[in-house]
Amino acid sequence: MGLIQEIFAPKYVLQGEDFPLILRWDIDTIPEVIEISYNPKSVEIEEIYNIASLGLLVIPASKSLKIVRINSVSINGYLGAKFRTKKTSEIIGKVHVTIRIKTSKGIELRTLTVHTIKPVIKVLKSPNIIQISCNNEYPKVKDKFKLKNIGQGTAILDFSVGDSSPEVSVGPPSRLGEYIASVFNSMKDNFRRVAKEYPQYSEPLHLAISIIEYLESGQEIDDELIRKIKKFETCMENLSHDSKFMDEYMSSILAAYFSNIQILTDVETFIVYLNSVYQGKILLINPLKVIHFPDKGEYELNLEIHLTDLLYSRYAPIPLGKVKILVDKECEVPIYKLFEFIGEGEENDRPNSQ
Amino acid sequence: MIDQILNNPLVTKMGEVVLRKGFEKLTERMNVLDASFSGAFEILDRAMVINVLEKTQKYSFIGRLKTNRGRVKIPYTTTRAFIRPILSLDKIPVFEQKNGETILHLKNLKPKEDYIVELDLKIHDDKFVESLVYTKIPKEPEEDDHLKKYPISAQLTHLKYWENAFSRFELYGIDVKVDVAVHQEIKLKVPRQFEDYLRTIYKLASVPMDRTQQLRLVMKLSKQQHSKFGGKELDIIRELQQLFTPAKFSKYIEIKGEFRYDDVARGPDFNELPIPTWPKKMIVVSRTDLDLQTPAKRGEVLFKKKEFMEDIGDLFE
Repeated sequence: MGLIQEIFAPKYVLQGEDFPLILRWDIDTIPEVIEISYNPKSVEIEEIYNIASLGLLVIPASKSLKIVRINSVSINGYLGAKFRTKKTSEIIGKVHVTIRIKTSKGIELRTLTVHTIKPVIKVLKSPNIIQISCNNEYPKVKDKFKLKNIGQGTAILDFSVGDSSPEVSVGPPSRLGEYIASVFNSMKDNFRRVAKEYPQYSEPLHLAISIIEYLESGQEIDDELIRKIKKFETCMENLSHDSKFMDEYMSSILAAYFSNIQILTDVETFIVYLNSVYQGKILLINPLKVIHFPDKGEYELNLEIHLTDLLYSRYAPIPLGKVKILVDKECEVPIYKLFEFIGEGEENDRPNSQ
Repeated sequence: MIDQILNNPLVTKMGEVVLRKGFEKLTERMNVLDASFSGAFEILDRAMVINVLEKTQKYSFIGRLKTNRGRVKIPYTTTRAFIRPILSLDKIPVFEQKNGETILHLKNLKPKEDYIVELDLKIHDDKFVESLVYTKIPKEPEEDDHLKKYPISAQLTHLKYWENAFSRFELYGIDVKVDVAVHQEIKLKVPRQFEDYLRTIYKLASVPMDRTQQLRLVMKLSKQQHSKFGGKELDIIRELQQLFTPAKFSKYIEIKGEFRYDDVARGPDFNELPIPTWPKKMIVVSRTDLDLQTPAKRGEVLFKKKEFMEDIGDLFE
């Protein structure tokens, strides 16, 4: 067995995500020097754990090679680090971290490879004209956009219709508008009540209220919303130990749903759920969103896809260009109906049992 | 001594000193405790045990009493405080809690004798663990047909400080919360016919339509009701919901390595608003302990997705 007993870094992380390095060696051997080398274009060290005072030297060897030399550690047998990966244009990037550990017995060298992944939406088909027939029980859409997530990261999608025909509007379905408004209102009232009972936790609750107000306004995701959601999630994670407060918080949400449940059934919530999840790691952020066409006729839509990943990193919007929409009567069409999401081997994977 | 340690590169950001937020608060308390006791005691050895779950820190030291005149005032409330001679198990009742302070009356103690002092204090900073430990859970798992694997790790930061300040430093119950994504597995196993059947029921029950459309849907429904799902839709949906209760879902989770299973809960997710009835992720909580001898731990949270999918599939058989 060599000197190094364990060396660990995860195999996959999202581009922009941090990752740990754990290095353990035989505690009976004191290293003379440990070197960590990497390409600073793809990754950077944020923190190093267990170095002794003045035990570190950074050597920028070249533009594509940086070496961090550690001369002594505080507690022998372990060295830890936190790396931060960088975004790259590649669908899957590779980060190589090499560890060189020198002792009186010789030199041991190990290289770790961490794959940096991200969601990448490829538009496989972009029609010029889409026909929508609303004379059936469901709107039937001919010639959809075809999208595929060719990356390995989960893609969270939202859509906007920026510069489209002025008669077209986007929002929650009209029959659900009342439900959503009353759930949101009950939720905000309940959060305000809980914030009074737990003034020490009023910050996350008011954050939640402002997130709801954002959602009510129908705006697309922007940096401000992401910042609020991130902050809210961190706050709530830190409060999860206070079970009394968490119970109160969860019951205030459930109460908002139950007090409005007559409008929404178990069946419908399940359908909405299924509409929001697609194979090939695609999630829709708001599957209820519909486009309202006020009358029979021809409209122009200027659709744009907004993509985020599980780190809430935003990617450049994907413009789909202008598309002509022909509608045979007034109707509301869920936005997801304009798309076909292609997954790997989708046709074979999904059971068709009867 | 502590100030000197703080000026060393304990945690390094490319050569610069970086102290994690919250760490200073904790060390500040140590400084105050040291300063409070150092007038009366020569401190020979210190230990610190932090219980993350209970949010308590047990500060203890062995000290030689310099004088038994006066008292030691500690500007904190303690949940427990005791002192005993090092060679005896008998605690001496000399602590008093008053107006948010803990007071040690020295008059019944013997100068030049060695004592063990233990204080339990509540930690009020919610982010204290974050400042002491770097925990990592990747957002995206490693995956094959059977399993989703989330490698997890925890490493003590500021090791140099703990090693210099304490002969024993332990952190118990550090929690690592993994978001286990379940949506793809559900979507893959719900048969299309079942989804269509639900849509028909829902449409008939809730959407206003003309007679022809209604008739067409009733015909469709009557055909679908002869399928094996006919009339069982709510039972199936409710049984599916049951899979997400902690008792049921925990059987699909295995924790490997140096972590232990603690709990599982449905994940709140703003992506689900305003219909959060179905989880896209489950939060699996696992815990570990760190100390000066084992300042880093790693493990894996395994989600047995094949087993989970088979159980969903069985609901539709």
